[in-house]
Amino acid sequence: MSRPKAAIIGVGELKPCRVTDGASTLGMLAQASVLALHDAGIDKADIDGLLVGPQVGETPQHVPATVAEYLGLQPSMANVVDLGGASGPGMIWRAAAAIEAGMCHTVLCVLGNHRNQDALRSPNRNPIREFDVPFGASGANATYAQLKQAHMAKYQSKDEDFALITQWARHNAQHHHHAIFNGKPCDANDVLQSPLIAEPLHLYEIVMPVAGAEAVIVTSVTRAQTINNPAAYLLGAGEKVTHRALSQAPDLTSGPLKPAMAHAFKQSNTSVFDMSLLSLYDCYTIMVALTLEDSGICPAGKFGDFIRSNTLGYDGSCPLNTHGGQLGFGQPDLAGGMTHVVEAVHQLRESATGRQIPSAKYALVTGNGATLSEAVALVLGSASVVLGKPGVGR
Amino acid sequence: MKYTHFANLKVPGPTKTPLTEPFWQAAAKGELHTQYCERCHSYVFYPREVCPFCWSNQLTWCQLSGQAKIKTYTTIWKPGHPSWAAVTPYTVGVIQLAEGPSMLALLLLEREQLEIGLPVSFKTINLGGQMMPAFTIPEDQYHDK
Ligand SMILES: [Zn+2]
Repeated sequence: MSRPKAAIIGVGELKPCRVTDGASTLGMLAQASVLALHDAGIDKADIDGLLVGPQVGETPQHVPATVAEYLGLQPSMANVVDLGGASGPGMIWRAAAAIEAGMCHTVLCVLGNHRNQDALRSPNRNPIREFDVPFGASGANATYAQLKQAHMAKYQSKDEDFALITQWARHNAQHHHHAIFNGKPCDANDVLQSPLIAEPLHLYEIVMPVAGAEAVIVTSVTRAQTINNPAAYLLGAGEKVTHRALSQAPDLTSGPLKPAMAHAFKQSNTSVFDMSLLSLYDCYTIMVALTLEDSGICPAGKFGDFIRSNTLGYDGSCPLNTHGGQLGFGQPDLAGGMTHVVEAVHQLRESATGRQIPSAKYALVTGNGATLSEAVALVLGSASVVLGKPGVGR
Repeated sequence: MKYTHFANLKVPGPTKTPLTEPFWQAAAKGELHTQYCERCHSYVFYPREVCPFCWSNQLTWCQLSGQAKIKTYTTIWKPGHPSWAAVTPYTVGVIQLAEGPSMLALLLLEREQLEIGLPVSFKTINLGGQMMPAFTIPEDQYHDK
C-alpha cells in the first residue's frame, strides 16, 4: 500500500431545490462551508487553503478572492478549478498536491450555484457591485490612488520618488524593442507634468493597456536535463490572498506580497539580497514602492531613498524590471504579469540580448491582482546555481 | 447645496440583494445600519450570510453611530465609468467606522479639507435617485434639499 496523500475529514450539503429566488451563490457557499466545518469538528482558523469553481454566479474574475473575502478567510493557497463536472474530484488532488507542496495544510473545496425563476435578473451580485462601483470608484485607478495617498500620508513619501519608478521603467524600455515605450523615454519631471487621473496618481504612473500574449512552458528538472536548451528553475514560491475590495484590506501600506515573498525566499533558501534581478509587478508606481518595502530590501517608507541610491538598469547596482516593466513595456491584460516571468527566464538563461545582466543567478518575480489583494512570488534560479555549471546551448 | 447635481447622475446603482435590503432601507431614511454578530460581538460590514470572523449566523441588524475616520481617499478627475464625468472632480475614500468595519463612500469635503485620520460623520446623498452613504465633516451644514 502506498502512503495516503490526504484525508477527507468533513462534508456539507444543502438540500437541493428548483428555485432559490433572491439567494446569492456566495451565501449558499458559506452555508455549505459551515456545515462541512461542523462535520469535521475543526475550527475555522484551521482552514488556510481554498479551491472554488469559476461560477459563483456573481463575478467572472477574482473568484477566489471574492469567496475568501466573503468567508473572512485569508488563504495561503487559492485557486479556481475549472473542469466542468470533474471539478469536484479535481479539487481533491489539487488540495493534496498543495499540501504536499507546503502551501497550506487544510483546504476548503466548495462549489455551488443559485437558480432564479426569473432568468433575466442580473446575476451580477458581488459586494463590489453593491458597495464600491455605485460610488464612482470603479476601475483600478481609484484603488491604487488611495494606496499611494495612504503611503504618502504615513511616510511623507514624495511624488518625485514615485516618478523615478516610471523614469527607470521607461529607461529600461529603451533596451527592449518589444516595449510600447521603446523610443519614448521620459524623466521624472515629465511624469509629474502628466495629467492627474485620480489624485495623487498621474497618467504616466499608470500602465498603458495593450494587446499581446505571453507563453511559458514548464517541465520537470529531470526532463529539462534531457533538452539541449538552457533553462531557468523554480526554487521557491509563495501565495497570499487577503481581501477583494480595498475597503476590506487589512493594511493599506503593506500587501499580501510580503508573506508571499517571505515564503518564496524561505523555500528557496535565499534572501532578496541574493537576487540578480527584481522582476516586480508594476501596474502602478505605488505597486513597485510597496513591493520593494515588503521584500525587505529597504525599510518601510524608504523606497525613495533606495531608488535614489541605486541604478536600476540591466548594468546597474540593482536591476529592476529590465524589460521596462509593464510601465515601460505595456500591459497586455492578464498576460502583463507573465512578462515579468518571461524577462526573468531570459536573464537567467543569458538570452536577454542587448540588456543582459552579467552572470545572473537568481530572480525574484512577483504578481499582484485586484486591489493589492492576490499575490504570488517566485524565486527562479539559473542553471549555474542549480546544476553548478553554466547553461548549455544558446 | 453643492452636491444637488449628483441627483441627476445616471450611473450604475447598487446591486441589492434580499440579505442587504435592510442596509438600503435604512440609508433611504438617512441612517447607517449593518449587522452585529451576537456570538463574537463584532460589527460586520458589508452584510453577509455568516459572520466573517467566527462563521456564526447569529447576525442581527443595528444602527451605527455614523462616526468615522478617513483611512485614505482619492479625488477623481478621470472616472472609470464615463457617466461620472459630469461631476468631476469628486472624492471617494475608505473610512473606518467607530464600531470597527471599513467601507468605501463618497466624501463630501473640499479638497483642502481632506486628510487621513480626519473625523467624519455619516450622511446620505441622492445619487441619481438612490440614497447612498456619504461622509462629511460633522459640523458641515450641507442639506440635500
Ligand atoms: Zn462572529
